[in-house]
Amino acid sequence: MLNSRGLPLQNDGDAAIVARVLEGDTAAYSALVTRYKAQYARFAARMLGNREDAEEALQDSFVRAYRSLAKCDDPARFGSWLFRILANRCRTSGARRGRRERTFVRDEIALLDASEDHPEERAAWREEIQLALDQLDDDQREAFLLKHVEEMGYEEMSELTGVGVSALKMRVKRACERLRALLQEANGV
Amino acid sequence: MSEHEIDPFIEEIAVELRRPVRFDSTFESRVMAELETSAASLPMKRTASTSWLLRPHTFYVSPLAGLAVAAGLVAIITMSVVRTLPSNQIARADTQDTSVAPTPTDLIPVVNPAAPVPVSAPFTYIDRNAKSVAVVGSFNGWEPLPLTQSSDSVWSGSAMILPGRYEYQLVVDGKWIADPAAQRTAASDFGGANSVLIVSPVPR
Repeated sequence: MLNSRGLPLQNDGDAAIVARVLEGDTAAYSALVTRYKAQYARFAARMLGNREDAEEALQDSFVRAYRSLAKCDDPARFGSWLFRILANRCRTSGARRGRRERTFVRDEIALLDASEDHPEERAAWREEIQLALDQLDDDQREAFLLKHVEEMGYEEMSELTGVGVSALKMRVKRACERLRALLQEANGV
Repeated sequence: MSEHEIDPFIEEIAVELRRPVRFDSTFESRVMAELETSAASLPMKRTASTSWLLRPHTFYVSPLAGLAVAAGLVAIITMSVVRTLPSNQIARADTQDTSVAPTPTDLIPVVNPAAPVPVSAPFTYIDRNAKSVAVVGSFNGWEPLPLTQSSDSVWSGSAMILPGRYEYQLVVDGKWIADPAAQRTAASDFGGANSVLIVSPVPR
Protein backbone atom coordinates (compact mmCIF):
# COMPACT_ATOMS: atom_id res chain seq x y z
CA MET A 1 0.00 0.00 0.00
CA LEU A 2 1.37 3.34 -0.94
CA ASN A 3 -1.58 5.66 -0.84
CA SER A 4 0.14 8.88 -0.01
CA ARG A 5 2.33 10.72 -2.42
CA GLY A 6 4.65 11.61 0.40
CA LEU A 7 5.22 9.14 3.19
CA PRO A 8 5.63 5.47 2.26
CA LEU A 9 3.53 3.57 4.77
CA GLN A 10 4.27 0.09 3.59
CA ASN A 11 7.10 -1.45 1.66
CA ASP A 12 7.34 -5.21 1.48
CA GLY A 13 11.09 -4.94 0.92
CA ASP A 14 11.43 -3.47 4.40
CA ALA A 15 10.47 -6.77 6.04
CA ALA A 16 13.45 -8.54 4.45
CA ILE A 17 15.83 -5.79 5.52
CA VAL A 18 14.48 -5.78 9.07
CA ALA A 19 14.94 -9.57 9.21
CA ARG A 20 18.57 -9.21 8.10
CA VAL A 21 19.26 -6.57 10.74
CA LEU A 22 17.71 -8.74 13.43
CA GLU A 23 19.96 -11.58 12.32
CA GLY A 24 22.92 -9.33 13.11
CA ASP A 25 23.59 -7.60 9.80
CA THR A 26 23.72 -4.04 11.14
CA ALA A 27 24.97 -2.64 7.82
CA ALA A 28 21.69 -3.65 6.18
CA TYR A 29 19.99 -0.95 8.23
CA SER A 30 21.61 1.69 6.02
CA ALA A 31 19.17 0.70 3.26
CA LEU A 32 16.30 1.79 5.51
CA VAL A 33 18.07 5.03 6.38
CA THR A 34 18.57 5.76 2.68
CA ARG A 35 14.97 4.90 1.86
CA TYR A 36 13.31 7.13 4.45
CA LYS A 37 15.85 9.89 4.98
CA ALA A 38 14.67 12.40 2.39
CA GLN A 39 10.93 12.26 3.03
CA TYR A 40 11.21 12.25 6.77
CA ALA A 41 13.81 15.03 6.68
CA ARG A 42 11.21 17.27 5.11
CA PHE A 43 8.57 16.43 7.69
CA ALA A 44 10.98 16.95 10.61
CA ALA A 45 12.28 20.22 9.18
CA ARG A 46 8.78 21.61 8.66
CA MET A 47 7.69 20.46 12.11
CA LEU A 48 10.68 21.94 13.91
CA GLY A 49 11.48 24.89 11.66
CA ASN A 50 15.16 24.31 12.21
CA ARG A 51 17.48 22.13 10.16
CA GLU A 52 19.78 21.31 13.08
CA ASP A 53 16.91 20.17 15.30
CA ALA A 54 15.39 18.21 12.42
CA GLU A 55 18.64 16.34 11.73
CA GLU A 56 19.01 15.55 15.40
CA ALA A 57 15.41 14.36 15.68
CA LEU A 58 15.63 12.15 12.61
CA GLN A 59 19.00 10.69 13.58
CA ASP A 60 17.69 9.95 17.06
CA SER A 61 14.56 8.36 15.59
CA PHE A 62 16.58 6.05 13.34
CA VAL A 63 18.72 5.00 16.31
CA ARG A 64 15.70 4.41 18.55
CA ALA A 65 13.98 2.42 15.84
CA TYR A 66 17.10 0.29 15.43
CA ARG A 67 17.35 -0.40 19.15
CA SER A 68 13.68 -1.35 19.33
CA LEU A 69 13.55 -3.18 16.02
CA ALA A 70 12.53 -6.45 17.64
CA LYS A 71 9.37 -4.69 18.84
CA CYS A 72 8.33 -3.75 15.30
CA ASP A 73 5.38 -6.11 14.97
CA ASP A 74 4.86 -5.56 11.24
CA PRO A 75 8.26 -5.05 9.56
CA ALA A 76 6.60 -4.44 6.19
CA ARG A 77 5.26 -1.26 7.80
CA PHE A 78 8.61 -0.18 9.19
CA GLY A 79 8.17 3.24 7.56
CA SER A 80 4.90 3.85 9.34
CA TRP A 81 6.38 2.71 12.65
CA LEU A 82 9.44 4.90 12.18
CA PHE A 83 7.21 7.84 11.39
CA ARG A 84 5.39 7.48 14.72
CA ILE A 85 8.72 7.50 16.53
CA LEU A 86 9.76 10.60 14.61
CA ALA A 87 6.45 12.39 15.20
CA ASN A 88 6.74 11.76 18.95
CA ARG A 89 10.34 12.91 18.90
CA CYS A 90 9.35 16.10 17.06
CA ARG A 91 6.68 16.85 19.66
CA THR A 92 9.25 16.45 22.43
CA SER A 93 11.73 18.65 20.59
CA GLY A 94 9.02 21.15 19.80
CA ALA A 95 8.65 22.00 23.45
CA ARG A 96 12.29 22.99 23.59
CA ARG A 97 12.88 24.44 20.18
CA GLY A 98 12.10 28.00 21.19
CA ARG A 99 15.51 28.05 22.84
CA ARG A 100 17.36 27.61 19.59
CA GLU A 101 17.57 30.20 16.89
CA ARG A 102 15.64 29.23 13.81
CA THR A 103 18.26 29.04 11.14
CA PHE A 104 16.31 26.91 8.75
CA VAL A 105 14.88 29.62 6.55
CA ARG A 106 18.22 31.37 6.34
CA ASP A 107 19.82 28.11 5.30
CA GLU A 108 17.23 27.84 2.60
CA ILE A 109 18.06 31.29 1.30
CA ALA A 110 21.60 30.13 0.62
CA LEU A 111 20.20 27.26 -1.43
CA LEU A 112 17.89 29.36 -3.55
CA ASP A 113 17.83 28.45 -7.16
CA ALA A 114 19.42 31.33 -9.05
CA SER A 115 16.96 30.79 -11.87
CA GLU A 116 13.98 31.60 -9.63
CA ASP A 117 12.21 34.87 -10.24
CA HIS A 118 12.65 37.42 -7.46
CA PRO A 119 14.59 35.06 -5.19
CA GLU A 120 14.66 37.47 -2.25
CA GLU A 121 10.90 37.97 -2.28
CA ARG A 122 10.48 34.23 -2.56
CA ALA A 123 12.78 33.73 0.42
CA ALA A 124 10.85 36.27 2.48
CA TRP A 125 7.58 34.52 1.64
CA ARG A 126 9.04 31.17 2.68
CA GLU A 127 10.24 32.66 5.93
CA GLU A 128 6.77 34.04 6.66
CA ILE A 129 5.23 30.65 5.96
CA GLN A 130 7.63 28.86 8.29
CA LEU A 131 7.15 31.45 11.01
CA ALA A 132 3.37 31.12 10.72
CA LEU A 133 3.69 27.32 10.79
CA ASP A 134 5.79 27.60 13.94
CA GLN A 135 2.95 29.43 15.66
CA LEU A 136 0.51 26.55 15.25
CA ASP A 137 -0.01 24.03 18.02
CA ASP A 138 2.08 20.90 17.48
CA ASP A 139 -1.05 18.85 16.82
CA GLN A 140 -2.36 21.30 14.24
CA ARG A 141 1.01 21.65 12.52
CA GLU A 142 1.42 17.88 12.31
CA ALA A 143 -2.08 17.41 10.89
CA PHE A 144 -1.61 20.22 8.37
CA LEU A 145 1.73 18.84 7.16
CA LEU A 146 0.38 15.31 6.77
CA LYS A 147 -2.69 16.49 4.90
CA HIS A 148 -1.39 19.26 2.68
CA VAL A 149 2.34 18.67 2.40
CA GLU A 150 2.57 14.87 2.54
CA GLU A 151 -0.82 14.72 0.80
CA MET A 152 -2.21 11.89 2.88
CA GLY A 153 -5.85 10.88 3.21
CA TYR A 154 -7.56 11.20 6.57
CA GLU A 155 -7.79 7.44 7.04
CA GLU A 156 -4.05 7.12 6.56
CA MET A 157 -3.42 10.01 8.89
CA SER A 158 -5.62 8.41 11.50
CA GLU A 159 -3.78 5.12 11.22
CA LEU A 160 -0.45 6.86 11.49
CA THR A 161 -1.22 9.16 14.39
CA GLY A 162 -3.80 7.15 16.30
CA VAL A 163 -6.11 10.18 16.27
CA GLY A 164 -9.70 9.95 15.03
CA VAL A 165 -10.62 11.23 11.57
CA SER A 166 -13.01 13.89 12.93
CA ALA A 167 -10.39 15.28 15.26
CA LEU A 168 -7.84 15.36 12.45
CA LYS A 169 -10.24 17.21 10.17
CA MET A 170 -10.82 19.77 12.88
CA ARG A 171 -7.08 20.22 13.42
CA VAL A 172 -6.46 20.71 9.70
CA LYS A 173 -9.35 23.17 9.44
CA ARG A 174 -8.09 25.21 12.37
CA ALA A 175 -4.54 25.09 11.07
CA CYS A 176 -5.67 26.44 7.69
CA GLU A 177 -7.68 29.21 9.31
CA ARG A 178 -4.81 30.19 11.56
CA LEU A 179 -2.24 30.13 8.76
CA ARG A 180 -4.49 32.27 6.60
CA ALA A 181 -4.97 34.79 9.38
CA LEU A 182 -1.28 34.93 10.28
CA LEU A 183 -0.05 35.26 6.71
CA GLN A 184 -2.67 37.81 5.70
CA GLU A 185 -1.85 39.80 8.80
CA ALA A 186 1.87 39.65 7.97
CA ASN A 187 1.15 40.94 4.48
CA GLY A 188 -1.21 43.65 5.69
CA VAL A 189 -4.18 42.14 3.88
CA MET B 1 -15.24 24.56 1.38
CA SER B 2 -15.32 20.75 1.35
CA GLU B 3 -12.23 18.72 2.08
CA HIS B 4 -11.87 17.72 -1.58
CA GLU B 5 -11.81 21.28 -2.89
CA ILE B 6 -8.43 22.87 -3.20
CA ASP B 7 -8.03 26.21 -1.52
CA PRO B 8 -5.60 28.19 -3.73
CA PHE B 9 -4.14 30.07 -0.78
CA ILE B 10 -3.45 26.90 1.23
CA GLU B 11 -2.13 25.18 -1.89
CA GLU B 12 0.31 28.03 -2.44
CA ILE B 13 1.62 27.52 1.08
CA ALA B 14 1.76 23.74 0.66
CA VAL B 15 3.72 23.99 -2.59
CA GLU B 16 6.44 25.91 -0.80
CA LEU B 17 6.50 23.43 2.06
CA ARG B 18 6.70 20.45 -0.30
CA ARG B 19 10.10 21.47 -1.57
CA PRO B 20 12.69 18.86 -0.60
CA VAL B 21 14.89 19.43 2.41
CA ARG B 22 18.47 18.32 2.08
CA PHE B 23 20.40 17.19 5.11
CA ASP B 24 24.14 17.10 5.45
CA SER B 25 25.62 14.47 3.12
CA THR B 26 27.19 12.74 6.13
CA PHE B 27 23.81 12.15 7.78
CA GLU B 28 23.57 8.50 6.82
CA SER B 29 27.12 7.69 7.88
CA ARG B 30 26.55 9.46 11.19
CA VAL B 31 23.48 7.34 11.89
CA MET B 32 25.36 4.15 11.05
CA ALA B 33 28.34 5.23 13.16
CA GLU B 34 26.04 5.74 16.14
CA LEU B 35 24.58 2.28 15.65
CA GLU B 36 28.07 0.77 15.60
CA THR B 37 28.87 2.41 18.92
CA SER B 38 25.66 1.13 20.53
CA ALA B 39 26.64 -2.51 20.38
CA ALA B 40 25.23 -3.01 23.87
CA SER B 41 21.78 -2.06 22.61
CA LEU B 42 21.66 -4.24 19.53
CA PRO B 43 18.16 -5.33 18.64
CA MET B 44 17.38 -8.84 19.77
CA LYS B 45 15.23 -11.00 17.61
CA ARG B 46 12.22 -12.40 19.44
CA THR B 47 12.76 -16.10 19.56
CA ALA B 48 10.34 -18.63 20.92
CA SER B 49 12.28 -18.75 24.18
CA THR B 50 12.48 -14.96 24.67
CA SER B 51 8.82 -14.60 23.79
CA TRP B 52 8.00 -17.22 26.41
CA LEU B 53 10.02 -15.31 28.99
CA LEU B 54 8.24 -12.06 28.16
CA ARG B 55 4.75 -13.51 28.40
CA PRO B 56 2.91 -13.73 31.73
CA HIS B 57 2.40 -17.29 32.97
CA THR B 58 0.28 -18.86 35.66
CA PHE B 59 1.75 -21.62 37.80
CA TYR B 60 -0.26 -23.90 40.03
CA VAL B 61 1.43 -25.05 43.27
CA SER B 62 0.02 -27.36 45.90
CA PRO B 63 -0.21 -25.97 49.49
CA LEU B 64 2.50 -28.38 50.66
CA ALA B 65 4.88 -27.36 47.88
CA GLY B 66 4.09 -23.69 48.62
CA LEU B 67 5.07 -24.15 52.27
CA ALA B 68 8.29 -25.88 51.26
CA VAL B 69 9.20 -23.03 48.87
CA ALA B 70 8.40 -20.41 51.56
CA ALA B 71 10.56 -22.22 54.12
CA GLY B 72 13.39 -22.42 51.60
CA LEU B 73 13.17 -18.69 50.89
CA VAL B 74 13.26 -17.85 54.60
CA ALA B 75 16.37 -20.03 55.00
CA ILE B 76 18.12 -18.35 52.05
CA ILE B 77 17.31 -14.83 53.31
CA THR B 78 18.50 -15.69 56.83
CA MET B 79 21.77 -17.10 55.51
CA SER B 80 22.41 -14.09 53.29
CA VAL B 81 21.78 -11.65 56.18
CA VAL B 82 24.28 -13.49 58.35
CA ARG B 83 26.84 -13.55 55.52
CA THR B 84 26.55 -9.79 54.87
CA LEU B 85 27.19 -8.81 58.48
CA PRO B 86 30.32 -6.70 58.95
CA SER B 87 33.01 -8.46 60.93
CA ASN B 88 32.45 -6.34 64.07
CA GLN B 89 28.75 -7.20 63.97
CA ILE B 90 29.55 -10.88 63.67
CA ALA B 91 31.97 -10.63 66.56
CA ARG B 92 29.30 -8.93 68.65
CA ALA B 93 26.82 -11.67 67.81
CA ASP B 94 29.38 -14.38 68.62
CA THR B 95 30.18 -12.97 72.07
CA GLN B 96 26.58 -12.67 73.14
CA ASP B 97 25.13 -14.95 75.76
CA THR B 98 24.40 -18.10 73.79
CA SER B 99 21.43 -18.82 76.05
CA VAL B 100 19.61 -15.96 74.36
CA ALA B 101 19.13 -16.47 70.65
CA PRO B 102 19.75 -13.32 68.61
CA THR B 103 16.63 -11.86 67.11
CA PRO B 104 16.58 -10.87 63.43
CA THR B 105 16.84 -7.18 64.40
CA ASP B 106 20.07 -7.90 66.28
CA LEU B 107 21.56 -9.32 63.13
CA ILE B 108 20.65 -6.59 60.66
CA PRO B 109 23.27 -3.85 60.53
CA VAL B 110 21.71 -0.39 60.78
CA VAL B 111 23.95 1.06 58.08
CA ASN B 112 25.85 -0.82 55.46
CA PRO B 113 28.72 1.46 54.38
CA ALA B 114 28.75 -0.13 50.95
CA ALA B 115 25.05 0.45 50.31
CA PRO B 116 24.13 3.18 47.81
CA VAL B 117 22.82 6.36 49.39
CA PRO B 118 19.66 8.06 48.08
CA VAL B 119 20.28 11.44 46.51
CA SER B 120 17.90 14.38 46.44
CA ALA B 121 16.79 14.92 42.85
CA PRO B 122 15.06 18.26 42.18
CA PHE B 123 12.28 18.68 39.63
CA THR B 124 11.20 22.03 38.24
CA TYR B 125 8.55 22.83 35.68
CA ILE B 126 7.52 26.24 34.44
CA ASP B 127 3.95 26.73 33.30
CA ARG B 128 1.84 29.75 34.07
CA ASN B 129 -1.40 28.01 33.19
CA ALA B 130 -0.98 24.69 35.00
CA LYS B 131 -3.40 23.88 37.80
CA SER B 132 -1.57 20.79 39.06
CA VAL B 133 1.81 19.26 38.34
CA ALA B 134 3.24 15.95 39.51
CA VAL B 135 6.17 13.79 38.53
CA VAL B 136 5.89 10.06 37.87
CA GLY B 137 8.73 7.75 37.05
CA SER B 138 10.43 4.43 37.33
CA PHE B 139 12.06 5.67 40.55
CA ASN B 140 8.72 5.80 42.37
CA GLY B 141 6.77 3.04 40.69
CA TRP B 142 5.06 5.62 38.42
CA GLU B 143 3.04 6.94 41.36
CA PRO B 144 2.41 10.71 41.11
CA LEU B 145 4.63 12.84 43.33
CA PRO B 146 2.96 16.29 43.48
CA LEU B 147 5.12 19.35 42.82
CA THR B 148 4.34 22.55 44.67
CA GLN B 149 3.80 25.92 43.09
CA SER B 150 6.49 28.26 44.38
CA SER B 151 5.51 31.25 42.25
CA ASP B 152 3.03 32.09 39.53
CA SER B 153 4.59 29.77 37.02
CA VAL B 154 7.27 27.71 38.80
CA TRP B 155 6.45 24.25 40.09
CA SER B 156 9.11 22.38 42.02
CA GLY B 157 9.73 19.43 44.27
CA SER B 158 12.31 16.77 44.93
CA ALA B 159 12.58 13.07 45.61
CA MET B 160 15.20 10.97 47.35
CA ILE B 161 16.38 8.53 44.70
CA LEU B 162 19.07 5.86 44.64
CA PRO B 163 21.78 6.46 42.03
CA GLY B 164 20.89 5.05 38.63
CA ARG B 165 19.13 5.73 35.38
CA TYR B 166 15.39 6.38 35.50
CA GLU B 167 12.64 7.38 33.10
CA TYR B 168 9.91 9.78 34.08
CA GLN B 169 7.19 12.10 32.87
CA LEU B 170 5.38 15.10 34.23
CA VAL B 171 1.64 15.00 34.81
CA VAL B 172 0.33 18.48 34.05
CA ASP B 173 -3.38 18.88 34.74
CA GLY B 174 -3.76 15.13 34.33
CA LYS B 175 -1.90 14.94 31.03
CA TRP B 176 1.37 13.00 30.87
CA ILE B 177 4.13 14.88 29.07
CA ALA B 178 7.89 14.63 28.71
CA ASP B 179 9.83 17.13 30.78
CA PRO B 180 10.71 19.94 28.35
CA ALA B 181 13.84 20.68 30.39
CA ALA B 182 15.21 17.13 30.26
CA GLN B 183 18.47 16.68 28.42
CA ARG B 184 17.66 13.16 27.29
CA THR B 185 14.55 11.28 26.29
CA ALA B 186 13.76 7.65 25.64
CA ALA B 187 10.94 6.07 23.68
CA SER B 188 8.06 5.15 25.91
CA ASP B 189 6.53 1.69 25.66
CA PHE B 190 3.18 3.44 25.30
CA GLY B 191 4.22 5.80 22.51
CA GLY B 192 5.59 9.26 23.05
CA ALA B 193 8.74 9.89 24.97
CA ASN B 194 9.88 9.53 28.53
CA SER B 195 12.41 11.92 29.99
CA VAL B 196 15.59 10.35 31.27
CA LEU B 197 16.97 11.10 34.72
CA ILE B 198 20.52 10.10 35.64
CA VAL B 199 21.18 10.17 39.38
CA SER B 200 24.88 10.07 40.17
CA PRO B 201 26.14 8.76 43.51
CA VAL B 202 27.33 11.29 46.05
CA PRO B 203 31.13 11.16 46.33
CA ARG B 204 32.30 9.84 49.73
